[in-house]
Amino acid sequence: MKQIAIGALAAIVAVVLLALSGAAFGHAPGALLSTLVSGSIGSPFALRGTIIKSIPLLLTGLSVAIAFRAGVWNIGAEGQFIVGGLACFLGAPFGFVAALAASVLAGALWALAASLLRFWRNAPEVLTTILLNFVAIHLLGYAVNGPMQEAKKQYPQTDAATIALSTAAEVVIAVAVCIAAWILLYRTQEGLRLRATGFNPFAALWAGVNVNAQIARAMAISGAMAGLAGGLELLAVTHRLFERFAAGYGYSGIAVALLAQLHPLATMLSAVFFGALETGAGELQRASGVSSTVATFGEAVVILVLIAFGSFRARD
Amino acid sequence: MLAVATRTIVMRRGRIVADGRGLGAQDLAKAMVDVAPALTRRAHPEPAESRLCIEHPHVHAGEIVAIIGVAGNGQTELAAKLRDTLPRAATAHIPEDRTRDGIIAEMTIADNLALATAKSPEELISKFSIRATGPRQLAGKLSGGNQQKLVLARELAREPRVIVAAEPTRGLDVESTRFVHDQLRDAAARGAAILLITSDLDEAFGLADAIHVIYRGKLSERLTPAEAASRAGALMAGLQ
Repeated sequence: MKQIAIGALAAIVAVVLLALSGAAFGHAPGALLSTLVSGSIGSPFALRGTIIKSIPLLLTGLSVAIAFRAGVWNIGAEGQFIVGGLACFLGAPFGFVAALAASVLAGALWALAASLLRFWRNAPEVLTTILLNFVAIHLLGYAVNGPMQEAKKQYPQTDAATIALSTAAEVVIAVAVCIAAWILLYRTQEGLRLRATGFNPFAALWAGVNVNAQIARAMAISGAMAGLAGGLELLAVTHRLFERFAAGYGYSGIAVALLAQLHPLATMLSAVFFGALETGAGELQRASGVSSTVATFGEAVVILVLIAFGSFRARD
Repeated sequence: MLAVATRTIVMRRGRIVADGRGLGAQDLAKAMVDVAPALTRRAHPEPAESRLCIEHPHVHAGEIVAIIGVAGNGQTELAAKLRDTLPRAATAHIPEDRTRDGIIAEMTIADNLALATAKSPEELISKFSIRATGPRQLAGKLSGGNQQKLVLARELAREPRVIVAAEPTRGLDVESTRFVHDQLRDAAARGAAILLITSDLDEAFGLADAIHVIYRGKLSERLTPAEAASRAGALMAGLQ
């Protein structure tokens, strides 16, 4: 109950601060807010935009939540999202199942690379996952400027994938994954051990949990979800790969997960909130010339409020 | 210590038991371990098979073997080594640091129990008389004694064949201490092999069928409580 209140408070403070800082730059706070609202949920078109942005945020948010629950700082959802998109594109000629399975597998393996570095060299995941993001970004840049560039060789992008997914199907898959994540965390022995490892790895070890294997599995599940987010984004939204394909969804997933207090079902609400914020911010840019980076501002404020109320503590 | 100290004070259980100048090693040893071995020993099954065989401690089924020594002589390392080498399914571990290693404070009593046993939390709470509002109470909200009972409930519910208990009553009140001792005795009576690592000498002499002294990471030979009563002090100080 207290956690819900803190989450709601963080969201409200973020929106209010956003409006007030708009006032500081000569925009009427009321008009700013109403543009944000109408631009995100005010029309069928706006609503569709919000949903399209919420789905990848939901999946990257779940990815981050699972890792953080296990006490692993996976900041690499962005890179896992990208390799998921790449693998999905390569798997597309073999059908939907192959394409999405490839994205899941690629994301999981990308995340596991960080766990291997942890076990082999005791390298902290918070560093390795971020560095793996840059590797993924440049891998994608190479792919769309080189071997995977479109046949016309005009823009740095791939051709459209050979298969496409409807938004409805994308929503169904994402919500199913969200419910599965909740069942995993709160209704299985695996989830119990994962949470125990995150809260107190020492006690988990004494209670018989194989802590290293647990951390590696949590990383793989986390990466798989971010990879799936990239695959779904490719098949249902962008249809092709280009350099800005990930569009910060991986990093925004951190804010989504924290606002949801790392709870899978709350992640749904949190993802829609940030999805609406990003969509509304886009409309703000078109209507009043306020840069759409105000959405990032909102994310940062949410994280700061959560830290201020101590509901999010670093344990590493 | 003998080389630099001019005056030596020996404390046991919060009381000064010896104080003087020129105390020799043997005097100190006697002052440190002045316990009468318990006279009544329960009958236990004949040593049939050896369950624990790491470095030196051999513990037979139905037997309590204590490892005593001055803290910091390898007790912690021994417990960790046993944790990592003994088969988990048949072994219970009661770690010495209850708040760090024993319970997960942020999780409920039910979740803490479910980590190692499938038995009903309500049943275990009443069987181990854990004073709590219910299975959904956070383990961190329990008193120290009840946290230790929770660890015991989780570890002993599976009726393990081997129990490694490190400092199982450190910091507990009299009632909880008695409860822990009764549980260990009952487990031994059921046929469990128990290794008790403790710095509480009264506990060791009150429970153990045999005693080893640990000093600088090495175990002494196996001593009967009577032998230990006369030699433990010297062994703990590294004089033998």
